[in-house]
Amino acid sequence: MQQIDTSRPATGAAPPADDDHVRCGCDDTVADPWRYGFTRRKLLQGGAALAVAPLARQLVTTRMAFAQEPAAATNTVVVVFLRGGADGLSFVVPHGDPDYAGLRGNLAVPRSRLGHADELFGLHPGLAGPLGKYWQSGRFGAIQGVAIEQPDYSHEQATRTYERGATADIGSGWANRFSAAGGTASPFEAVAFGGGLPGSLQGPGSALALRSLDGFALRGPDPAALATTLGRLYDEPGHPAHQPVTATLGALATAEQVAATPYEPAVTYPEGGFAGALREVARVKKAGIGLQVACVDVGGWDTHTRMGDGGDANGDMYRHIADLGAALGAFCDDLGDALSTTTIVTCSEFGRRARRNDSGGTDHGYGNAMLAIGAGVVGGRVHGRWPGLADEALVGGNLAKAVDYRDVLAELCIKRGGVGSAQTVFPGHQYAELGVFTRA
Amino acid sequence: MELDQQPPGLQGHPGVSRRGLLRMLGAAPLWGSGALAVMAPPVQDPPAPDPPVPGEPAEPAAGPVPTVRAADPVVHLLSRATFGATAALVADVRERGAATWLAEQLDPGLDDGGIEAVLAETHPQLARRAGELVTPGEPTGDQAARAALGQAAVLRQLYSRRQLFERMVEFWTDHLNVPALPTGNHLAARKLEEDREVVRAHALGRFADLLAAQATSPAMLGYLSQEESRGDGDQVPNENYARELMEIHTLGVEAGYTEDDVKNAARLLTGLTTDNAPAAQTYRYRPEWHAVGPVTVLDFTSANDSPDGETEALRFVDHLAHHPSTAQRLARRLVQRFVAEDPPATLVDRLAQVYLDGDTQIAPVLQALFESEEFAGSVGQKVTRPNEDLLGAIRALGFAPQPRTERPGALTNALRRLGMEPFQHPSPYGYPIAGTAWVDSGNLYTRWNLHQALAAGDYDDVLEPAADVLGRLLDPAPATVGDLVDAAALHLVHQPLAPAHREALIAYTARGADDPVGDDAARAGLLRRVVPTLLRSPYSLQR
Repeated sequence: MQQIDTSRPATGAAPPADDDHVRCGCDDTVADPWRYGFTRRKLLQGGAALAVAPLARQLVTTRMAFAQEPAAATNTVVVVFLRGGADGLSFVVPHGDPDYAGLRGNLAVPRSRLGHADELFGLHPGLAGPLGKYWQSGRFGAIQGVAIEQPDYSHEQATRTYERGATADIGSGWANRFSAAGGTASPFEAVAFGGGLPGSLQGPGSALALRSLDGFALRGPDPAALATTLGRLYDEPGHPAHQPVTATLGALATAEQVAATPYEPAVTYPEGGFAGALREVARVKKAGIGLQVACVDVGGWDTHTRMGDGGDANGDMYRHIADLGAALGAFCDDLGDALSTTTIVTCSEFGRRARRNDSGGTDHGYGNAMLAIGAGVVGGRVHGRWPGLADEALVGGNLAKAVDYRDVLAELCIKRGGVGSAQTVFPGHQYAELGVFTRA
Repeated sequence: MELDQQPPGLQGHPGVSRRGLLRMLGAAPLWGSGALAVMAPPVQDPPAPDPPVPGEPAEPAAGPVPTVRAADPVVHLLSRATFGATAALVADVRERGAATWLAEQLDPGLDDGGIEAVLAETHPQLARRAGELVTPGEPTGDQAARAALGQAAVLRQLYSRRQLFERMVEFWTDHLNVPALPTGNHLAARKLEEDREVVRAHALGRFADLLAAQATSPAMLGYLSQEESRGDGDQVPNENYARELMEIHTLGVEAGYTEDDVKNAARLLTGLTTDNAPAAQTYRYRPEWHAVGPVTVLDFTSANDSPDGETEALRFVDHLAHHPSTAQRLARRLVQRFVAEDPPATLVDRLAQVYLDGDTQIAPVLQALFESEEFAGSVGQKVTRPNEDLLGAIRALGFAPQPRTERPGALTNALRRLGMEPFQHPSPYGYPIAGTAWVDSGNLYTRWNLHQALAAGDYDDVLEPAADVLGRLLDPAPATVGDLVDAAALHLVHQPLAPAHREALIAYTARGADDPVGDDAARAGLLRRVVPTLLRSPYSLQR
C-alpha cells in the first residue's frame, strides 16, 4: 500500500506514542499507512502518560482563571480536514450520473449499497449507517462540486489556498480570522485537536494545539511557581514565542480545572486517533469553556492505488470512509444536547480524478463533496449544482467546481458564528449565500 | 557603544537592558580566524515571504525578530551546524578557530569519534540489504528496521563528531522524505538500505548523484508508487513520483511547469521499478513497461524512442538536479534551515550560483553559507525544532551514552511525542524545516516536560544517571545562588542572562541571590530547578 498521508506534519501526524516501557523499541508500529490518520488515539494516551496527577491538581495560577459559561452557550464550529484529497465521489455518490459507472469501474459503489439514495445521489454506506438518523432528521446534509477557485493538483498549494481562505497572499488562516472576529477570549476559543496547528488556525489570533486534556499538565518542582517563571521568561510581547507560551500557560491552567473531573462520554467511541480527538472536542465543548472553533485532521485520503471494490466492505476506501462515519456518528451521539450548538463540516484540499487509474486508485482531482452535520444545517439533501461527469463537463478529467468552498464556510461563519460580514473572514471574496445553514 | 551598533539579533528587544546588552557583548569572544571574522550588519531588505507549506507559519515575520541570544560567533556557528553546542565544544572551537572546525566538518574523511563502531555492534541490521531484513508475510523485519534506523539516527546526532554531516543527513532526509513504515512493500526495510546507500553516501557530495541514487532506490520507487507505474498498452502512468520529484525534490511549483509536463515526466519515468520478491527488494528496470514517444518537460526534451528508457530517465533526473529552479529551491531551503526562518534573498541567490558553478556539489554551498555576512547577522533568527531541543539538552548537559540500554527506543519515543520521530513523517514534504512551525501549545508543554524528565532521572537507564550528570555540573559549587544561576547559564546556554530573566530564575529557586549555595544536596536541589528551566528558556528556544 503506497498511499501517502499528507496530514499535518506536526505532533499529531506521528504514529502512536508512548511505549517507553516496551523494551524492544519496535512495538506499536502502524501496520498500514492508509490508516495512518486513525491512529492518534494512542497519541492521546501518550500525552496522558506524561502527566503526574497530583502535580496537575496543584497547578493553579490565578491570572489564568476562567469563568465557566452557561452550559454550551457558545456556538461551536468543528472543522474536520481530510488530508490528502478525499474522493468525494465515493462519499456522496452520483450513482445516477450516466458516466459514473464507466469512469469508476470496480471503484463504483453499487446503488444497492447506498443510503438515502435519490435518482442522482446516494450516501456511502459507511456514512449512511452511523449518520443516517441525522440525515433523516434533517441535521446532516452535503454539498457537491465544492472547490477552490482554480484547479491545483499540488497538495501543498491546494491546501494552503484552502486553509488560508484567500487566493491573495494573506498571512493567516480562515479559522484564525473567524476566531479573532467572534472570539470568546477563552484560551480554548480556537483549538486544534490531535496534532499541531493546521494552516487554517495559524495567524495572529490565539490558537491552541492539544492532544488530550488528561496529561496536559506541567511537570516540575512547584508547578505553579514554574508557570509563573516561564511567563516571566517570555513576557516580552515582541518575542516570537511570547504568544504561544502565554497561550500554553493559560490553557494549562484551564485544563487543570476541567481535567479534575474524569470524562465519561455518553457513548463508546471507536478505536483510533481521529475518534479520540473528537472525544476530546466533545469534552471541551461540554465543559463550556468557550470553544468557538475546533480543528481535527484525518489523514490517509491520498488514494493513488488500490482503493478496493466500491461495494466491498473490506475494501480500503470503504473501510476508511466507514471509520470516518463511525467516529463522526459517535461524536454526534456523545454531544447529545450540545449538538444543538455544534456544527461540523468536512473539508479536503481537492477531490480526485473522475476516472479510475491503472493502479486501482485515483489521482489528484478538483471538485469535491463537503459534509455538514449538526446545528443549523439544512440537511437531508445534497446542496449545490451537479456539474456532471460527462467528458465535456470535466475539468482536466475532474469534477468541475459548482460551489466555491468559501461560500460554504462564510455562510457557516455568518449564520452560526455571528460574524457580521464574509469579508472579515474571506477578504476579497464575493460571497454568495447557498442556504446550507440557518441562523443561530 | 551606541545602541545603533547593537547586533541585529538584539535590536528592539525591550527585555535586554543596555547594561545586559553590554555584558553579553563583553562575553562574546573574537572569532578565531580571519575568513569568518565579520560581524555582519543587520540583514537589509527582508525578502518577500517564502511560500509556506502546510504546517508552516502562514507568513514569516518580516526582518530580524527580537532575540535574547548574544552575538557570539562561535556559539552561533555551533548552534546551527551541530545538534547542540556543548561547553567543551565551544571551548575547543574558540581555541582552534571556527574556520578550522568548519573545514574539518566538511572533510569527508573526518572520523566519527567511534559511534559507528558501537552501532555496528548494537544495531547489526544497519549493514543489511532490504531483502535480508524482510520477513515474508510479517511486519517484524520492517519494525526492526524502523527501530534500528531511528535509534541509530539519534545516537549519531548526539554523539558523532561528524556533526555537520549528520545535520545534512537530516536535511536530505526531510527534503527527499521516505517514511520507514512497515507497509506491504516494506518501506522500512527499503528505507534502511536507502539511508545508508543513498542519503548517507551522498550527504556532502553532489546533489545530482544523490538524486540519481534515490531515483533508482526501491525505497523512493515504492513510496511514491513509481514501482507500479506502467506505460505499456493503454496503461496510464502513475503521476505520483514524477510530480513530487519536480515539485518537492527539485524545481518547485514556482518553476511554472504544467500538468502536461507532469504527465510527460511520468511517461518518461515508466520502467523505473523494483523486484519486490520478498528476498529481493531491489531496483529493476523493465523496458516492457516503458512508454516510448517524444516528451518535453519545460526545457527538457527527449525523443524517447527506445524501450530501454533508463538512460533518458536518468538524464532527465540529472537535468532536474542542474536546473536553476532547483538551485534556487535547494538554496532557499538550506538558508531557511541554517540561517533564518525568513531567508535573505541575497544569500539564496548567491548560494544558488555556488551550487550551479560547483556542478551541484553541496560542501561549497555550505562553506559559502556559513562564511556569509547574512549568516553572521542571523543570531537568534532560528527557532529550535523539537528534536534539536531534546538532543541539544542532552548534549549540553553532557549525558554519556548507554548504547546497550534495555530501552533502546526510549529517545525515539520521546521524539515521537514531540511529533518528530526520525523517518516517520508520512507525507512527501518531510518534517517542516521552519522551527516556527513547531511552537504550538501541545509541542511546547511536551518539550517542557521532557526537560523535566531528563533532569528527574526518567532516562537513567537509557543515558547516564541524571544524578551523576547534575552531580558533576558546577562542581565545586559557586558561592552563592546568583553565582550558580550565572554559571549554569554559561554552561547550558553559553551566555549570561538578561537581568530580568536572571531574577525570574532566582525567584523560582525560592532563595536569595546572595544566599550561599550550601552543601551538595542543596546544590542538587537548586540545579533540579535551574537546569530544566534554562532548557525551557528563550535562550534555548532560539538559536
